[in-house]
Formats: sequence, C-alpha cells, structure tokens
Amino acid sequence: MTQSGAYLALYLLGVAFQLGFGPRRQTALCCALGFLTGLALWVVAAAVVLASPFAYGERTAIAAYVVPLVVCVVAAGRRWRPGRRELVIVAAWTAASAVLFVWLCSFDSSRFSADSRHIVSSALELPEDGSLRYLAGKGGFHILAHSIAQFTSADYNYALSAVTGLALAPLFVVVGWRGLERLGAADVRARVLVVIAAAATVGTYNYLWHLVYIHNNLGSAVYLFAFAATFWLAELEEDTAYLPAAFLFLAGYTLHRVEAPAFAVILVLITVFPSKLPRRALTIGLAAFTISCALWYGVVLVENAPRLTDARKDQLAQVMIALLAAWLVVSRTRLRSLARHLPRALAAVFALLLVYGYFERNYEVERSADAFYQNLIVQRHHMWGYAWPAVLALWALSLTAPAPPAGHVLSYGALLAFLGVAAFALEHPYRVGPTDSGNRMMIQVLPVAMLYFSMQFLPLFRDTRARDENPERSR
Amino acid sequence: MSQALLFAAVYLLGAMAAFAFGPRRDPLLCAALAFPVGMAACVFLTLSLLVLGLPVTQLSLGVVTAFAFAGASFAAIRRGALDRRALLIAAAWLVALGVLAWWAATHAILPKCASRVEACILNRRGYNHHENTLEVLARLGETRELALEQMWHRIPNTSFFMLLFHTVCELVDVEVTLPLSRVMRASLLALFVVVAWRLAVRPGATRWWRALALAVLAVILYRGLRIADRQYFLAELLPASIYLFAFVTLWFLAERRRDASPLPVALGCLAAFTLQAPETLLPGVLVLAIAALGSRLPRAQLARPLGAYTFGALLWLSFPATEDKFPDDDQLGMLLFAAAFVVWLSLGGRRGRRLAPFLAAALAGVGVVWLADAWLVDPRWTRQLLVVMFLPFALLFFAFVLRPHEPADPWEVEPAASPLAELGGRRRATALVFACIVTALLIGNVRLYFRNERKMTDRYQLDAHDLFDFMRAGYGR
Repeated sequence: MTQSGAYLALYLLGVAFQLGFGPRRQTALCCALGFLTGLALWVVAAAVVLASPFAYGERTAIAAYVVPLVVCVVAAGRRWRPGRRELVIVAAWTAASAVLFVWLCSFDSSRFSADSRHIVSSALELPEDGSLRYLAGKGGFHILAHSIAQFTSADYNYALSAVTGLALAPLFVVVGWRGLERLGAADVRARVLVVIAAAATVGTYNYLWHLVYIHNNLGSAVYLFAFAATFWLAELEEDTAYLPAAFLFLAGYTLHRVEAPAFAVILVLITVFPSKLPRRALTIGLAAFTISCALWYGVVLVENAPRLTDARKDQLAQVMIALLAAWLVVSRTRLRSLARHLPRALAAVFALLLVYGYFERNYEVERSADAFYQNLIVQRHHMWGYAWPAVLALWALSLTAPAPPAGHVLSYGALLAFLGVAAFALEHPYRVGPTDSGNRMMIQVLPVAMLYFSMQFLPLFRDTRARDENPERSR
Repeated sequence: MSQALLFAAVYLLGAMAAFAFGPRRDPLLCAALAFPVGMAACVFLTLSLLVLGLPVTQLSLGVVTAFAFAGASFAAIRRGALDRRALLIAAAWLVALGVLAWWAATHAILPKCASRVEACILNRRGYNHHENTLEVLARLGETRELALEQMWHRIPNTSFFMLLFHTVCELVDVEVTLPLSRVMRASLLALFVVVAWRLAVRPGATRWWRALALAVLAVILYRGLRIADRQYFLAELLPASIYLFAFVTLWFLAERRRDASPLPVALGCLAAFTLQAPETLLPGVLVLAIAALGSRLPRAQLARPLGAYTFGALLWLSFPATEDKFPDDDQLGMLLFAAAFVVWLSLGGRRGRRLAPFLAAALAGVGVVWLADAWLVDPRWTRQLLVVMFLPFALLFFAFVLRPHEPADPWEVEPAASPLAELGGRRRATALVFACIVTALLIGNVRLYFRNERKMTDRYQLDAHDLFDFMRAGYGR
C-alpha cells in the first residue's frame, strides 16, 4: 500500500465513524473530520493491541483498522439515510482528499531535529520491538501514527504532518460556517471572512513550518482544535451527536504529548463539568475517555516505560479515575450549578499561580517571559510574524463585544492552554528559538483563539435591529 | 521634629484637604488619600512660595501650611464633612500611620550611618537622584533657606516632586528617606484596598468573599511593591503610581456616583503625577483628556475644576525657565493642556465621548512605544516600572472582572458588565476591525513566507537521508 492510500483508508474510516456515531446530518463536517477521526480511531485501536498480549505487527495493525471499520460501516448503514446532495458531498470531498493526499505524498520536504529522529526511529522499530517503552517519552500518538509506514511502501510517513495540519483548514471553515448559521449570521461576507481567518491561521509561518517539521505539536494543536470545535458545536446546538467525536479527539490530544493529560483534565473541567448537555451522554463519553486513559497509563506503569516516572504514571491514572468520580458526584448534586464558574476560577488560579511564581521563581519566570516575548512578538526569529500581536489586539477588542453562546469552551480553552504552557515555565524556563517547547506548544492556542474571535466578531455584522426584534434567533 | 510627627502633620493637612475638596461622603477613602494628598499639598505650597519669590524657611513654610490647614478645615466643616464618624475614622487612621511611621523610622538600618550624606548615598541608588538631592541639600546646608535657583537647576531630568518634598523635610530637620518609602507603599496598599472595596465588588456579594478576594490581591500588590521598592527610594515610580491610581479611581468613582465633589482632589493628584518626571507630562494630559471627554458628569460641575487645573498648569509651564530647562517641553506642555481644555469646551458631552476611545488608543500606542523604547535602554528598570505602575490597575481590573455576579445566562457577557463595553458600542465597526486585522495577518503571513522560506529550509538541512544512513550504520555501534 502507498502512503497516500493509507491516508485515504484512514479518511474513509473516519467518515464512516462520523456517519455512524457522529453528527451525520452535517455531511460536510463529517468529511472535514474524516482524516483526523480515522487516524485517532486507528491509533486508539493500535494502542489497545499494544497493551494486549497480541504482538504488534502487520496483521494486528490491519485488524485494528478493519474491526472499527466494520463496526462504523454497520452503524452508518443503519443510521445514515443520505439524499443525493449528501452523496455528492461525500464523493466530492473524498475525491478532493485523495488528490490532496497523492499530491502531498508525491514529494518529501520533511525536516528533522533530534526529536524528529526519535519519533521516526521509534515508530519504525515499533512493529519489531512491540514495546511500550518508546511511547511514554514523547507521547504515543505520533509514534504510533508514524508506525503505519512499516505497512506501506514509503520509508516513513513524511507527509503525515502536512496531511494532519492541512486538515485543520477545512475543519475551521466548516465549523465556522456552521457556527455562523446557528448564530444567525451566515451571510456571504461573514463566510468569506471565516475562510480568511482560517487561511491566516494555517498560513502563519510557524504553522507552515510544522507541516514539514516532524514533531507532535502540530498534531496536538489540530486535535485540541477538533475537540474544542466539536464540543462547542454540541453546546451551541444542544446536540449530543458531536460528543463521541469530541471525546475521541480529546483522547487523541491526550496521547499526543507528555504534558497533554494535565491539559486534558483542565479541558474536561471547563467543558464537561459546566455543560448543559444531558448528563447521560456526557457520562458515557467521559467514562470511556477516563477509564481508557487510566488503563493506558496503568499499562505504561506496568511496562516500566522510561522518561515518565512511576509516580507520575500512577498519578495520571489516579487523576483520570478521580475526574470521573468527581463528575459522577458533581453531576448528581447541586454542585453542578456551581461548576459553571470553573472556567473563570481555573483561569484565576493559573493567573495567581503565575503571579506567585513570579515572586517565588523569579529567574525562571523572567527568563521564560523574555523567551516568550522574543519568540512570539519580536520579529528576529521570524516564526510567528504578526500572529501574536494580532491575537493580543483581537483579545483587547473582544473585551468590548459580547461573547458567543457557549463561547467559554473556545475562549477559556485557548486562555487556559496558554496559561498552562506558561505555568510549565515554573519547572523549566523556556528559551529563545524556533524549537523551544514553549514556542512550539503555542501552536495549540492559535487556532482555537482564532475560531473564538471569528465567532465573536462576525455575528456583529448582523443587523442589530433584526436581532433585537427576534432575540431568539441569536441564541 | 521627629519623623512620626512630620508624617502626622502631612497626614492631617491631606486629610483636611480631602474632606474639604475630595470625596467627603466617604471618610474611609478620604483617610486613605490623606497622606499622598498631604505630600502633594506640601509640595504645592512650597512651590507657590518659590514661584512668588518668597524665601522658603521653616517660618514661612509653617505659616503657609497653617493657613492652608485652617482654610481646609474651615471648608470641610462648612460642607459638613467632619461628622463624628469621619473624625473617628481619621483619628484611627492617624494612629495607624503614626505607628507605621515610628516602626519604619526605628527599624531602619541606613539612618544609623555616620552622616546624612552617607545615608543619602547608600539609600539613593538612582544614579541621578542622589546627585541632585545632595547638591540641593548642600546648598540648603549653607543657607538654611531654599531658593528657586536651587530647585530649577536639574528640573528637566529629575523627579522634581520628590526632590522638593525631601528638601522640605530636610528644611525642618527630618531625614525621611527610608520611612517615607514604607509609608508611601502602605498608602498605596490602603488606597487600593479601599477603592477595590468600593469599585470592584458588587453590592450583594458576601463580605467574606470581598474580604478574601481583596486580601489575596492586596498580598500580591504588597509583594510586588516590596520587590520593586529596593530601587526607588527617591525615584518617581512609586509616587507616580500612587497619584495616577488616585486620579483614575477618584474620577471613576465620581462617574459612577454621579458626584463631581472628588474632582479637585483628583486633579491635584494628577498635577502631582505630571510633576513626577518630564515623561509623565504627556500621559497626564492624555489621561485627563480621556477622563474629561468621556465623562457623563454635568459640564457645569466639571468646568470649574478643569478650568482651574488648566490655568494652574499653563501658569506653571509659562514660568520663565532657566538655561537648563528645555523650552520646547514647556511649549509642548502648554499647547497640550490648552488644546485639551479647548477641545473639551468645544465638544458636547456625547460628541466628546466618541473621542475618548481614540484618545485611549493613542495613549495605549504612546505607552507601548515608550515602554518598548525604555525596555531597549534599561529592561530592569522597565520591569520595575511595569510592576509599580500597572500592578495596582491590573489587580483592580482583575477584581472587577472576577467579581461574583449572576447573569441570566452565565456565559453571556453582559454588555454593561464590562468596563470597556462602551468602547465597542458600534458593533459593525468592531466586526470591521476584526476583518481588517485578520486580513492584514493573512497578507503579513504570505509576505513572511516568501521572505523566510529559504532561511528556515537552510537552517534545518537534516532530512530523512541522514536518519536512514544513521540507522543503516547500526546507530553508530
């Protein structure tokens, strides 16, 4: 199988999942989510194989693909009733995706650092070794995804970052358009501006650089965006159909990097806990996410994988279970009404932590602040261009405009992702340079922030009088 | 005269001024403002003597101060500000200030130095401040009389306000360097707590919540100022922060309460702010213009204090300068003050309010450029500046945003709840600004891509072939 063929297969798996278990009425959204869903689903299935007594090889890898595919196709066949329009959308999107995959796999422009070498060499050895020891150090998702190369004719998945990163652009547009429709502001001007915002986000030089630079930051950014976008749509439309995909993306994000579980816990606290969605749907998704994560870290603990201390693995498993237990208690009691303050409270806690850190760890914080300033604002390194000054300006502007409904998922998602990245400076100061981890992690903040700003400002184009006459339309 | 006695006298003068011309219905706020206002009153009285060409001696200063105190007390009594509760609060505050001043004076290490000059040198780390102070003190030591020429000498490049206050203290034989720093820090802290209690917490919130939130914020402010204060015994940062904070919050309180009575004291604080350093002139005028143009107070109530302030500023700036003073600064300052007042007079309230956001943006732009410039010259000092000048405002804004409230939909930001909501009154304009920023970002990205592509590609020449060569070689084994 060729590399592009493998990507197309993953895309089809993802589309089948979305049509079977996701927002099947939003055909374009299902297609936009297709590749990311298929990749996440396959990686989760491959992780199950790795944790099982079965050897990780070509047969088990194919089984990890076929079994979910059959389940999803059966579910889609039973639940999806397409019309002509839906079939045309799926066919056109699939054809366009295939062309894109073939084009992206037709040349190798990938660039490596020491981390990239670790990821790719671990992935290529994974089918032979079959051990979990590679997966704890840099986060398992990217290594597992790169291990697909062993079952294809390519030396390694040089186009994986490009395919994953570019999947964000149509997803941004489709989610933005859907959001505008629900906010009653889907005129041509607003739709065009969503496209511009998506292009400005993906076109940021650091983002483009990560399309060819093999590392796990871009993947974590895309999965974080996919989670935030689908969960926001679920809140906006009060539709639980988005939740299976959302929790799958959250799992994909969690497995991407070592620090991601901590971020995932924060994300759950600011999205699931204050959610107005039905408790049952949330509990199923959260239980599946937390229990599988706890089991995974338990297996990693037993396997004694390096670069993650036993205490940390143990803590991660316990935190996941504690999170589920807390949800079960909170969701059944009056505490749930208080949970709506969680985003603000967590932001305050992080902000105070940083202020406290400024006084207690002055050196680390000042050095990191200087590194952030150099990396994000100063043009010397040419990585971000004007992205962060623009975000700061939009943030200042956002204080003057009303937030979109359920906007906390996006706004506090981006804010806490940034504060979380900044809080890691208390342990190790960041440095100036394009490969600095703080600089790389900031990729995950930008797309979510830009979607939030788009959904906050573009509805302001609406005629105010019409909104006042029909306030329900804006909800 | 002892330090505690001097501080008590300054406090009493300031308290009477605050009760007479400030927020007299709020005795706690008057007490919190008293010491900074007293300092400003001392400086203004001394300055008026100097400008009139009268000798500044213990006697002349004592007489003028006594007259000012009597006049302020008379005005306060006449306006009914000094009831029993107000007097009790003021007295309790006076006792607390006295204890603080006594503690600060007795626990200071540096005054044990062999001479005052040594203490000055050791205390005043600011490279230009101690030179100026010592020079003025030396002349004072010779004559025991302060003359205008002694003060003019370094005005353009020093913190004039603090230099004058220290010199006045020396005139009455009190060395205040270390205690003053501590008392000023405590004053800022007290002012912050009182203002935050009034402004940032909604009525209806539990007192415990208020107390807890403000205690946390006050501790943060205290720690921040403690770290910063090692550097600014005589520098302008701390007093500039106090006076700007006092002006902004007093004006904001006046707007919220629809009560213009605190404005004379607010404008006095602004005058003290603009006298701190040559750089404070422009921000002072801009802040005043924003406040006056955006004001919803009746124009009749605003006209008198604003007119008096503008007249005083013009008089001060038009005073004949010595050869060391830059005449351009004076002319620019006069022009700015006059222009601000004329613009305010010529624009109606509603039209004027539309200008306020643009002025705020101009102020932000000036601030950013100036900070960036200062950062390049002296990053350490700039960081201190950020902490001392902006931390009180940042914490106040933090308390304001985080105050507990229960909107109908917790995720829907109430337009009225945001202090900046009025800036975004034009919804379509806000959306257009967003469109412009995003489009500019896209264009900038494209430009950056073509400029950078070669450079980044060259920097990372490691590619797959290196890896596979490495792997085939058995990882170097």
